[in-house]
Amino acid sequence: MKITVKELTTVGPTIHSSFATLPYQRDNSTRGSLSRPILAYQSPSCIKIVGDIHCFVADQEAGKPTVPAYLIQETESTLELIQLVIEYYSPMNLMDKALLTHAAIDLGVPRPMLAEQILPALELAPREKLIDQILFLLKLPPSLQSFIVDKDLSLKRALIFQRAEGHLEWVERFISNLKIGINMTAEIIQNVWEMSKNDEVDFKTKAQEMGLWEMADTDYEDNRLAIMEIREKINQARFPSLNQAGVDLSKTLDAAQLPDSMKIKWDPYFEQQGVQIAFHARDEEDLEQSLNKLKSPAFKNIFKHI
Amino acid sequence: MKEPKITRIIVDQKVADQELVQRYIKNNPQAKVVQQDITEADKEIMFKQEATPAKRDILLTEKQGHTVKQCPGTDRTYRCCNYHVINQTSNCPIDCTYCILQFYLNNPVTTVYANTDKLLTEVKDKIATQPKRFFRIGTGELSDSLAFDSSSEYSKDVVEYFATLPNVLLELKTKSNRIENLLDLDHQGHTVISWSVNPQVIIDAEEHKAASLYERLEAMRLVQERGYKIGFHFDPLLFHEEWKQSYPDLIRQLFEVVDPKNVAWISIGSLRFPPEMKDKVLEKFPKSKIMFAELIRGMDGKMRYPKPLRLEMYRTVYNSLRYYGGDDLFIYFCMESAEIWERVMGWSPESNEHLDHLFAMSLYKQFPGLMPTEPQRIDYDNGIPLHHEKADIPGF
Repeated sequence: MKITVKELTTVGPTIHSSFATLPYQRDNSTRGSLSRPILAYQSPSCIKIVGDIHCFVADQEAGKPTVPAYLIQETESTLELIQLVIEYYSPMNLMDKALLTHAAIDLGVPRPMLAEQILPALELAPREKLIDQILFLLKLPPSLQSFIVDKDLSLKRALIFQRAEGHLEWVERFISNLKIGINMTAEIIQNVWEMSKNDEVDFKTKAQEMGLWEMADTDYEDNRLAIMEIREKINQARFPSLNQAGVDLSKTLDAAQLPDSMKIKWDPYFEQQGVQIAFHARDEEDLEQSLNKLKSPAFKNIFKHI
Repeated sequence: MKEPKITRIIVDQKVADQELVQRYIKNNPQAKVVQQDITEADKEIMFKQEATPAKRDILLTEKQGHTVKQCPGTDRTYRCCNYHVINQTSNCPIDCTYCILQFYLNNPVTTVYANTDKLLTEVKDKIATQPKRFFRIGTGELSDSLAFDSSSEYSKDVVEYFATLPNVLLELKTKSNRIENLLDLDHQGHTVISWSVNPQVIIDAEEHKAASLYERLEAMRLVQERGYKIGFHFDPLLFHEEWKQSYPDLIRQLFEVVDPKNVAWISIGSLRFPPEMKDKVLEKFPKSKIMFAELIRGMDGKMRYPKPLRLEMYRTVYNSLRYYGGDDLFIYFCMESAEIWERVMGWSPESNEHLDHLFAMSLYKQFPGLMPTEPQRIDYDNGIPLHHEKADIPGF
């Protein structure tokens, strides 16, 4: 391997490399006199710029005759070149990793080699299956890609959007109208997908059945209301026995006619046995009345439920 | 059930002269045999290989350290029965969707400890230290007890060995119908052949290489005829659309074949797994629906059905067992709280030691002659585990 620092001329035709889409985030604000040189390599026919093309173009448009570059003059293999690119752009976000994977395929790196030698350098598991999964990110609408990068989503989380692959436009509307975060959106998609698989219906039908599909076209001023509504709809679909248990317990509590000053709390997942009872007693008589209510058979019925 | 096809037998030089090794080689003429000194580094390389359906390696090696361990479920959060396990074989060819083994032992190598004499002598020595207790020891924790038996004929070693031990029952737990080797053994009533059971609809969907229900029932019929005690494990109960009908149907079918008087014990448990297993199941078994059921994170951190649903399932199974099998059946919950016992059965063991004693009492009453004297509670309350180290699956 041989790398030199060189002034590349901005005059004449520019041939970009397979890495030309790197990096995903193109922030010009850091580009100043102290910015690091761009990366380029010597191909058999010409010098190719690896990435940061926008910086090169900006300098070109500003009339600068040359730009500083790290020029990779010799590498032992394409693999070594890719490793250098990874090193140059580290730490990479998920979209950078997807772009790099795409570039590696474009350069003809065989999939098994890509899986075994490139993916670990990208801090990904060395599994061929992951190649297609990470490439899927490139199919996402730009707004979702930005969210993934901004929120630093894990690959596992980001891949949840695959579950709604045919409905990404709906996903975008959902996020934009309901003003909910990317993580919650992923959670919603996962739930709809799981329920659709369970009931053997397609994603859209299930989202419609759950009452979530049309929500994407509702404009919520306060996203907390949207979130509450979504949670309720998901819980109703996913936890039928828990919901029923909650309804039964509430009915039993209603039948016990407890005073308003008495608050009963329970584990919503019903794992913890029993209830927490809190009440305020004004005086001895009030206390007596409250205790009598608690001793009543109607109240004791709740322990059949929890 | 199809026999798992072994492609390669790797023999650690240290156990090359063991009979078990010769059996594996004799019974698998198609397998390539490699004999070498095996180091820990060699094993690590083997275990790193990705599991594929076409490849099954058997590593025959030497067990170092202790063999008999406590069942890993044994702790104080839930009621457990003080069961002990021998892990002679690690890895299972049956590939059940819900099985935690696939994720902890996700490699194509099945490790078999071939120094049988050492393993069995350890059992004998350890149970001799507490002669007043009656132990239950199983081989079906890290593998199906009988799935490899046509190759290993290991049942011949253990069944007849346990027949000579005064204060222990051996449990061979299986989803197979590989019982041929058991039929002519002199077991002396000291072996329980137990089956994990589920309705055929679940076997088809989730227990991919297991014997069908019909095959299991036929196997039960045969071992019962040969005087073996029988066990049933309704574990895991799996929620599915027709579960309210299919579990009672299953129980009816079982008791059409098996006489309740021959049933040593019956366990009930429901699906439970560490949360991280979900994605792996979805990836490995994309057609399975079990991960889409109503599941919550339980107090032990594992995913489970919510208690109201568990209770409904348990009551259905428990009531059907009583209906078809009678009041004398010894039924217990595996890894469930005292509350669940109370709400389903109307009582609960006071402690794990109490449950252990109840097992012994039930066996004493049901199988006269199995124990010379009535088990005393104090011997169980003061009992100590045969080995304090728990078996090898974390958190299970």
